[in-house]
Amino acid sequence: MVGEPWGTLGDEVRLVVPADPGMLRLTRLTASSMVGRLGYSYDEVEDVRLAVDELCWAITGIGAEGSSLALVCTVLDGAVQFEGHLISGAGSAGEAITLSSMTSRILERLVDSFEILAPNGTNGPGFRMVKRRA
Amino acid sequence: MALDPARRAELRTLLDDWVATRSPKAKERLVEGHLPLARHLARRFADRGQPMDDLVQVASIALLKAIDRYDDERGVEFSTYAAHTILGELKRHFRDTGWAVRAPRRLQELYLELTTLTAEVGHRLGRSPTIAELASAADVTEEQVLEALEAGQAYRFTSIDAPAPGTEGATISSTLGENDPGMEMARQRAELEELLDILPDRERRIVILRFWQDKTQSEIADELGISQMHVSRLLARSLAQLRDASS
Repeated sequence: MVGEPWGTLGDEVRLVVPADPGMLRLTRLTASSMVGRLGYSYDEVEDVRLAVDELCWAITGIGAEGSSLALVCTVLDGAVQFEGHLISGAGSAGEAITLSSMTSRILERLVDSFEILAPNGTNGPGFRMVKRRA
Repeated sequence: MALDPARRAELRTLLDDWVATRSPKAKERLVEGHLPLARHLARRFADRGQPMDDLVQVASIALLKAIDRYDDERGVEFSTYAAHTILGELKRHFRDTGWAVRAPRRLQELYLELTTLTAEVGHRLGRSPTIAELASAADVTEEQVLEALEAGQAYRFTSIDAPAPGTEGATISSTLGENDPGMEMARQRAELEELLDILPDRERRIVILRFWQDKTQSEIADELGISQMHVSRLLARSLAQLRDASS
């Protein structure tokens, strides 16, 4: 697995859970499983886990009751992209995700890139981040 | 924890000194005198999957609270009052920060085993090990490693009632990077400093080392002489506290 990790997984893994902080464990586990299986180091797995937790938590913070959180993990060339969105949830879809300067600083150190996404079509506000393997 | 009469009298003198003067020096001596009690009580919880360092820290902070709150006129022995306070705080610590998502025992045990293995394998390889390498060393599947690591993070739903930080060591400003003339940077720095102040000294140091000095978790673990998994857990807990404080 470590020798030739790329291409041994499907290109994409999707997870949809209630937008509830209690569900963050599943998002962390999904993300860390993804990069762990791709041969990322323990340090890198930990970075992904923390970053996904921060960003997914930001989504749960604006989700109304009944809304969902979708996390899509996509294998790129030498990297994994994580995209999270708030789904449905009346009254919450238009609210933007805001990150404190502290959180932004932390994310800059954890991942190679990240951006906050505005609502688009059926997707509510969200994020996109990429973590490359060293 | 039985004390001989001489030691008991010595502690009584320390307490009398504190009650009479309320001086920082008297308090410090009283704390030092009762730290063995705090450690003794922390050890009672040693088999519940949390590092002794954390438990002793909780117990020590509870001891400080007990000293501050103790009323000599009530006629209760200080050691009795302190033990009650410390045990209460330790139990509350487990309730608030223990395995929030109750992990099966096998995962807790594997988590503890991985604490050692991560350092051993990392040092042998000279780099942070992969999940596959950890799984091989522990003779379990990669899924089990990941589940155990996640189970270890179940501490993260922490109380915001963080211990008050000490005042020793470098200032946060001195560790946040070079001086920047920009007002925005100055404002952000002030905000960050205020936020970081909610963290205990050790956790604050870990956050600064990781996010301001770009050290990896394994480098921080080596520098502080603790396991990488302990660093990981403290980082996760600290970020949750910072998040709570900033929201």
